[in-house]
Amino acid sequence: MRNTERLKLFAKISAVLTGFNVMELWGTSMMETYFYWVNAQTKGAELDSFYAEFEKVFTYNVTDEAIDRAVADSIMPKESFGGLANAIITLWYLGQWTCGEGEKAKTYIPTPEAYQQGLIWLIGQTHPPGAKQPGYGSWATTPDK
Amino acid sequence: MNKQYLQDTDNNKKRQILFNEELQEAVLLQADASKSAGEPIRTLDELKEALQQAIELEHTTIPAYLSALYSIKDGTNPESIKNIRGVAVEEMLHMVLAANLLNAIGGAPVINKPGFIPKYPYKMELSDEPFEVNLDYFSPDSISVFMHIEKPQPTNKPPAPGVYHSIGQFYTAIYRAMHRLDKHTPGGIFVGDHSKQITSEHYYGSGGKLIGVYDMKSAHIAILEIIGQGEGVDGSIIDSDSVLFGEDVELAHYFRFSEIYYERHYREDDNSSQPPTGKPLPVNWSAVQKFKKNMKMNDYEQGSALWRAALDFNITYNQLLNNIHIACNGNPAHISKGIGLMYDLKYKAVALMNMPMGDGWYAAPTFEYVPLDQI
Repeated sequence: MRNTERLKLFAKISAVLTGFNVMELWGTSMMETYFYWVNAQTKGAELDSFYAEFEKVFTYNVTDEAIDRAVADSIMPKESFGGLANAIITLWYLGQWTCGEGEKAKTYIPTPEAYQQGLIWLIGQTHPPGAKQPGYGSWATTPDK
Repeated sequence: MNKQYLQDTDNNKKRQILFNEELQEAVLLQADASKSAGEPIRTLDELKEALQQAIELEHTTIPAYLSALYSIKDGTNPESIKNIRGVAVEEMLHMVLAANLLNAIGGAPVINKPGFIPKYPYKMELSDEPFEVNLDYFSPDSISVFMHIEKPQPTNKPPAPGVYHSIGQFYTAIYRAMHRLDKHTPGGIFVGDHSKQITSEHYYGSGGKLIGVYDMKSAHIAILEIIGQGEGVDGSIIDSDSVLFGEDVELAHYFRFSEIYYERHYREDDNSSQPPTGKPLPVNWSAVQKFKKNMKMNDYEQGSALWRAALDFNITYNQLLNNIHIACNGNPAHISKGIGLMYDLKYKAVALMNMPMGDGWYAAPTFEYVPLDQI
């Protein structure tokens, strides 16, 4: 599979895993950064089978509900693909990449923008402290919903 | 050299103010205070109309400047960003100053009506040779249009009611009408409620000064503030050799864009009719998110993710205009509530400009009217 096609697939996978739509994820400007980061951090064979499994899910399931169910069954369990799906979710939401388990676990922040662009801030209708300032006095305004 | 083109600021800096006392005198002397014949603005109602038009005119440039500003990729072109943002912020200030002028004479600024946001491409009619203002990404082309906006050409054609051949002519007409009407109206024309004025106490951090308008004297200062940095100034002044530069001088709008265009800073003994010759101002023209000119909601498939993102931006923009409308109509303290909206606006614009539309193009904010009460 060519890189551009894989990038498209990665975008689609990221949307399923995060609950944000593909365009919203592009809007963070992190799509390509994360795509290449995941490529570099994951063993080739494992990554290939991860993408292949998702292609299967997208081929055999039409509705969003069916896709979610299939992902929950075959991709989300920790033992599947070395917990890659979980790692990608954490990457999008927190801008952090954790590998290894227990005491050997290490956390990386791919780029400074990863912190600023974490989806957690959007979901919380808040802002990353120290970056993307919301403006003086904005803390006095209640969130929309 | 004419030092009147420089003005001292509060923080021991100087800013160029391209409208000197000599010129003011000339404008006033020409105006025969007793006669309104031949003047484009004759009555108080016409003056109010003209000031509403001034608010709209000042706003016109803002979406264009913001489109270019936000298209610059994060972390690149810091000096270009500083120059464009500085000008955009001052245009917002000018819009509020024009609203102050209208409030001062008992008018009511309207900032949230359909049609307040112009349709782009916007044909700038206040010019002998009309030109188009676009919503476009950061490029030598868009910057050269900005230079054109901020350096109107001198004109020989006289103004007529509702017809002006330059922005300078338009503001001159307002200035003279204010002066004449104030003199010949029993009790004067400055009858507006003082508490409606938005001053620096309500909002600071912008370039220039937010001046409360209570009489002819403060109206005079406010008008000079609006026209002194660019638009209202006849291009021949910019081309005169009287404009001073220097490291501690805050440049008028034309020169800030000119620095970007020529990728160079002005230095102290530069001639204003020539390109700058100081140290390089590095510009990376390719570090931009490119989008097609003057995108509209209709360019996105209705209901699609892109369409929703564009709508979301427009809602925020209309909320911001509504916020300024409320602030300018009796609730000056409301203006500070708009600060959060302004940041939000930026983040939403930048997100749109990161959404790919194929063939290397990206989406863009459309700056269109949305009826907020129907959302």
